[in-house]
Amino acid sequence: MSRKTIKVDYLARVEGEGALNVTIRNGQVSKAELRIFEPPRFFEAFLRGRDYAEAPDVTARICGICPVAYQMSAVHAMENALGIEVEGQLRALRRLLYCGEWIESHALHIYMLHAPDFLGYAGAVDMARDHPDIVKRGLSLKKAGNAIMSLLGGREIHPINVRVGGFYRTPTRKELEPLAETLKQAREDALATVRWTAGLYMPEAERDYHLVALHHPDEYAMNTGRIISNRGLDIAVEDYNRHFVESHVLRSTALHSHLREHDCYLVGPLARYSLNYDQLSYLAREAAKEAGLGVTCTNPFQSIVVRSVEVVYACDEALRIIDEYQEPERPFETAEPKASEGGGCTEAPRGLLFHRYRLDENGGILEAQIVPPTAQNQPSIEADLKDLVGGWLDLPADTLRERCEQTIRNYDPCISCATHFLKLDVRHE
Amino acid sequence: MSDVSGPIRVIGIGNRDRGDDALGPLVVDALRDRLPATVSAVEHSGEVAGLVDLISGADAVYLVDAAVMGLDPGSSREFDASTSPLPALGGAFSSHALGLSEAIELARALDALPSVCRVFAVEATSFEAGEGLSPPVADTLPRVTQAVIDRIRQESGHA
Repeated sequence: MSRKTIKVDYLARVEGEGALNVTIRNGQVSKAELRIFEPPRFFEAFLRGRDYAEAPDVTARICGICPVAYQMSAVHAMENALGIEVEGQLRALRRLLYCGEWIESHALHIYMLHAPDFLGYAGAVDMARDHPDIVKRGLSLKKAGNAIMSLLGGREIHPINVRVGGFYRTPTRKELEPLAETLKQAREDALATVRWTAGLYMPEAERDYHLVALHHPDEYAMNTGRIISNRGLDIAVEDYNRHFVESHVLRSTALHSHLREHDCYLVGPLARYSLNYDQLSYLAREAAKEAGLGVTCTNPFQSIVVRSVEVVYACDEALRIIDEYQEPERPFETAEPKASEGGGCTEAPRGLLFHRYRLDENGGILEAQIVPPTAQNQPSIEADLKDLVGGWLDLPADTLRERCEQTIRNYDPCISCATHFLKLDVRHE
Repeated sequence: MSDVSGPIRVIGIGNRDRGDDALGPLVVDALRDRLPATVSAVEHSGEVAGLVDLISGADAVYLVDAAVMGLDPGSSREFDASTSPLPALGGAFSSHALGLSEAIELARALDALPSVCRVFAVEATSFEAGEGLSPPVADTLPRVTQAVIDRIRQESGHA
């Protein structure tokens, strides 16, 4: 017998759920806890016993929104373990692929998930009725990112063309040419996105974050670099576990990450922008300036503007790479498997994504560690809520709940709590 | 990549590597050589921007997807989405569940939904990575395939 509740094609791609408990005692927030359920731990177990070459394809399936990030961190970790250097055009193509993911992921979040909060809509569908041209621009921008991923990755979601050492097949110059035309229009759309998001109402919410991001001396870091912070952290990726620690908390199946000596920290667009502003392209910096952003940004609500600036940059950077592209002699570099251990860290759209693998002498995976950005930001999300909710207690209950949800969505969390079914339990004691 | 320029489109949504989520792509496989030239069958991941495009450019769309509806495993339902949303949509978006319902509603909101929009949904039991179809969903596959063919024949005189 069927039940009354019918949900079509919804739970099929839900990979978690979120709930928030806020406790207010004597008019002060005494506790703000985000509960989430996240599946990557399953993948870590799933990876054990697999061949090192399978890691990019297996980990790409962790997330339908940022598969490239998982592939990139996996291949860099494996290459670190096996001593493979990927340089030149292969390295540039990886960066191009990552640009595609930043564009599609950021466009999705800006237009479909985050903007409705600012404009007072339940979701993008409602927003589309009143603002069809804006939503069409968002979809078009997302498709430009998808186009890069389809061409380089082999398909839009869960790309299959990435391998340890490079790609299974590299594109010809002729194949990349149509992308350039798509990206020129996308860059215009991205600039319009910056102007549009800059005009949205931003709650006042400056936070004193410990910002953590990759930094590369020559470029706005995506794939490689050192891990730095605004409070003096400057470490090699291989030393990640010496400085960061994960811990279980009862309320979440996702591990919480902390810096051993500084507690919670922030990864993602605000951290990247604030730590690497000078390395944005001229156009992206000008767009930021026009939007009223400074050289750093610590208002989490303004992350929607910063993401838009990063989309401008990603379009610009993708066009540069395509313009300078020369077909590489071979699509990948190789090395013999050996007993080894390696770590890789890249900048997923939502922030730092760390992978570590230990391999046996045949390249079999003995141990896998994956630290996604949402796990790293979870304590920071709670700290935002604890710090900010106290100033909103005069708001009507519905408005307060929406503001809390918006505070969580500022992070573009890669879990289903980015939906509007967040349950908010406010207790007054 | 299938030809998707035709005015009548069957879109099988899902991921071949995730258990019953492979239903949509497998229906597309089963439809090959059983459809006239004016009807195209295409597999799609469910990515929202691409799906809105595919839906918007057609005269008629027939969408096939695995779903969680609270029915017995393998049970199938056909929905007419041309005039009203799929049940229990609620206008919600998830960062992972940007699915069929939302794509249809976006197309409707953008005034681009075809006059024929039918959804064939089959109750799934497992979305495990690396698994094949569960036995009840595998049993349903030929029936859903035939149901799609019958519906196209009835509505367009094709097949």
